[in-house]
Amino acid sequence: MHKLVFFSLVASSFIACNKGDVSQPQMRNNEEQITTVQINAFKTDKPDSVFGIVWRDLDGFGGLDPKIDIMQLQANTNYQWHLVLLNESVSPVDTISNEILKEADVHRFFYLPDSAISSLVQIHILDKDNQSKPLGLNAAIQVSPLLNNLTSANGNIRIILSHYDGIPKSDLPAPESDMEIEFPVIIVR
Amino acid sequence: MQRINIFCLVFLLISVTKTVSAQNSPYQLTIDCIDSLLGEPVSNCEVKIAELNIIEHANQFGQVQFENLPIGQYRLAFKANGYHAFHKAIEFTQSMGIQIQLCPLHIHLHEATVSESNNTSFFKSKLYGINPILNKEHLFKTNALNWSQLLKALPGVYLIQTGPVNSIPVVRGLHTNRIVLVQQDIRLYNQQWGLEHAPEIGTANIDRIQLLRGPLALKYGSDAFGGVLLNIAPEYLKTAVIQSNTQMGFHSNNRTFSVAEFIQFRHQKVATQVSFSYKKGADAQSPNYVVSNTGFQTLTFQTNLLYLISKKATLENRFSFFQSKMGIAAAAHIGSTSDLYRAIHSSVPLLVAPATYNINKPYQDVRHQQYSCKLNYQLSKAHAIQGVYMLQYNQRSEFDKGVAWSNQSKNEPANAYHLLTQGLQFIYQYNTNQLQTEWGIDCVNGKNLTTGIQDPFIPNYSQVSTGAFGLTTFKYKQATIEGSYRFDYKLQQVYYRDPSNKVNAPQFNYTGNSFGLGVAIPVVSMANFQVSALKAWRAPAINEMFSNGLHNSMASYELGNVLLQTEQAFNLEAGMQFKWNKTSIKTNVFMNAIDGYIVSVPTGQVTLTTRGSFPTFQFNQQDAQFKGIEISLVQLIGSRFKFSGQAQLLDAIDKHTRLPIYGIPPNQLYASVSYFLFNKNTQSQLEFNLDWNAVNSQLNYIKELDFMSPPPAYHLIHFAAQVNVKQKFKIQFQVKNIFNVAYRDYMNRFRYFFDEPGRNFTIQCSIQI
Repeated sequence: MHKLVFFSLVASSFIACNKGDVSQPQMRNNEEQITTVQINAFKTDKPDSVFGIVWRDLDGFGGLDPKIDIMQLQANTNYQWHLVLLNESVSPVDTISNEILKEADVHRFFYLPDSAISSLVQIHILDKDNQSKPLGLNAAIQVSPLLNNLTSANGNIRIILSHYDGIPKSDLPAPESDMEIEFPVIIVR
Repeated sequence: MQRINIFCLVFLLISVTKTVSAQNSPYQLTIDCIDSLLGEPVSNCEVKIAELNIIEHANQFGQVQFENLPIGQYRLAFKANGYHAFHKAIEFTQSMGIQIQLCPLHIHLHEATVSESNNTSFFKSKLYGINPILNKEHLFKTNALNWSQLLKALPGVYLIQTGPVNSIPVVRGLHTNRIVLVQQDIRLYNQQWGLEHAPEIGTANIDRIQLLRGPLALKYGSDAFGGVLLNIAPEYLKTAVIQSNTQMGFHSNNRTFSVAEFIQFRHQKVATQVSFSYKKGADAQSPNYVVSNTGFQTLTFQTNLLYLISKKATLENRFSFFQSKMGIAAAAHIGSTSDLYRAIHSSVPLLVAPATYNINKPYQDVRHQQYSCKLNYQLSKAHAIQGVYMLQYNQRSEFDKGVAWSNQSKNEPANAYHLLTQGLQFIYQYNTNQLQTEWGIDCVNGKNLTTGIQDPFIPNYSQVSTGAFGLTTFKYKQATIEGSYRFDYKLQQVYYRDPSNKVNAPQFNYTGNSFGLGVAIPVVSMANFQVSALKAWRAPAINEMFSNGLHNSMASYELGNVLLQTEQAFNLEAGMQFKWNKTSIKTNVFMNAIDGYIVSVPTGQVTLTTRGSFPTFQFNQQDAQFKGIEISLVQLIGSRFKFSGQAQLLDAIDKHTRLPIYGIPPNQLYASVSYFLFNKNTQSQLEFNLDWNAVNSQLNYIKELDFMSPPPAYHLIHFAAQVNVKQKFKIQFQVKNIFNVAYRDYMNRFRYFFDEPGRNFTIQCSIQI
């Protein structure tokens, strides 16, 4: 009988206790999250005239809809922009774009104008990683003139952050993306 | 011990078949060997006539024939693995047929004053047609990679897969929270809500699996209306010996090797069973490419210990440990909607690497520990009481690929669930020849803690369930009637933080009644009719009310719904078993109406995230109706061939809109031809099987609910050869998917991304000492 009791105790000891109090859920503190994508853009011939375009979702996935600025570009104009990625849900605010710059070898941004404006907008990546492969935090945007009968054109630019985890970086997006957002674009004369 | 319990009497039914006497006394003796418990044929029975020193073996229908038997008085000795030996004297004067009901070994556990009942539930349903059983032979032949795969031979059971190895059972279209899993009479409490959460059940210690769908299912909960899957362990030894069973196997497709050891011994008042198993597999290979990161490893350990305190009391302790690490197919783990569309429109997975045993992120690491202690006390021959305490701890850690900018992301799980469950049960049993009844109460308390670096998909919660049940089965003339009633009260309290980090703690209460009634009536001597009705209910699960997050592989954003009410189910099933000479036919027709069926449906809106815009799904309720038919046929052709066929048809619709329910298994057909050879000298049997499995395309679906049309129908051919020597040594060789067909299965949630595994050569052996 003593052996039996001993056996029971040994068996019970394997059962770990539940850590923590279920009535106190862990704080929301998602380090992985990107809440804000800010584009700091300027006309190439006017480097001082910087304007910001922001995509922001402070409460993360779900909940309230994100706030998205409209990107207004002028036809027949060249721009450059710099992307800043933030996690504003943590304190202090985490500048994720700095981390991406450190891990540039496994990341790449893709800028994909949709079919409505793809003939008008050409985007070229300016920055490179250590292997001289494109990164995309900095880009040049060339907006072509509008056709004669148009006063404006509307479309979207999709920005994808590809993560090349365990596979070589290429000109094709990786199978898994870390970020994918879309800005509405209006091109005016 | 000399008094034999009424359950253990071996019935002898003699029906004399008159034959025309011939010149050379051509009398024959035909014996049908039947399992006294299941009513099913005992095919491994050996019958010896001592006076003539001749032995014959039963065929697949449990039939034994002695030809040209001289008139005389004989002593027949019956021997079958897993059954008590039995002797019967007969006076043989002319051709005759007798039916012997052999008593399974474990039946004696209920004998007379001592109840050693352990791994098998005391109370067994007699509605065999409605509650089908897979025996050890079936389980061995399946050569499964996991527990769920063992179940495919059960009528009406399909699998939902998430990759080549990860799977959960679907019974007649119902799954997860509507199926109850029971391991040696203890209900399993795990994170059962997830389609990719394979049950934490080892296979090394399973003797039989029964799918309980009739009234007696209510013993295990009111939410058991999808079915209860009972995993029954071998019975304890009753003599002082040591017995071991070693099993080894290999699968060529994903290079899985497995080893399992089961040892049991008896020393006076103590009987012990110890089992251990280990499986490790590499990436699976579909006919045209490797399905990367689908390797897995599983480790299980279980020990059972029975102590006979006195002639009337036994105490049983059980402990089990299950651990599994399983890769999530890399090609299925997408980050955004664009990724999904690229993956769907690519002819090969976007990520293919050489096959390896390495398991990389994303993967899941699951551990389950279970302890139970059961005390049986036999008050008298007919009355017994039982008390059970159980403790279970389930840990599930899900690791995503993670992001480069977070150190936490590199090392810690995205979500980890820690579920601790305790339960108490008290049962009173009354057992006579005419009437068996069981009354009990149970109380279960569970607490879930969610951690991890991502916002929790389901929140913390605690819940208490208490229930009281009564089960009865009694005989009235030729009929067997089963009835059950159950009352439940359930309290759930959820703890979650809103976006401002404030804790909310809503509470939910549910009560409900469930009952069932079933009847088995022998229509004529060759046919048995069974009918069962079950009314049950289920409280909405935590995930259905509070899930909130992205389903990466499904590219959907899933929301819970706190307004959900209970599901009310009504099952009606009728079954007919017909057996004539060498033909056996079983048919089951069923209708399962579930009012307030909880299902995740698209809201028509999208959720905008930094991972793209995802269609939003939310749990909602509809009145669903599942109906179907299952037909199986076994035909012996001569003494060497056997043909088996099975058809499963299922239809599920919303009762009001008549639109199909999402994700229902398509219709399927199965046929098999077997050839047997038996060598009396070496007591060995050689068996060849050629199987054909046809799965239709799911034609009933709503186009808007899916990213892709259901895959086309497919056919697979399998071959198996098996040698069985004295039931002690078995070796089996199989080729699955002989023609290396590239196909996709509708019930595989990763069917958007890659094909099912291709040809697979398997070998396994089992040695019993």
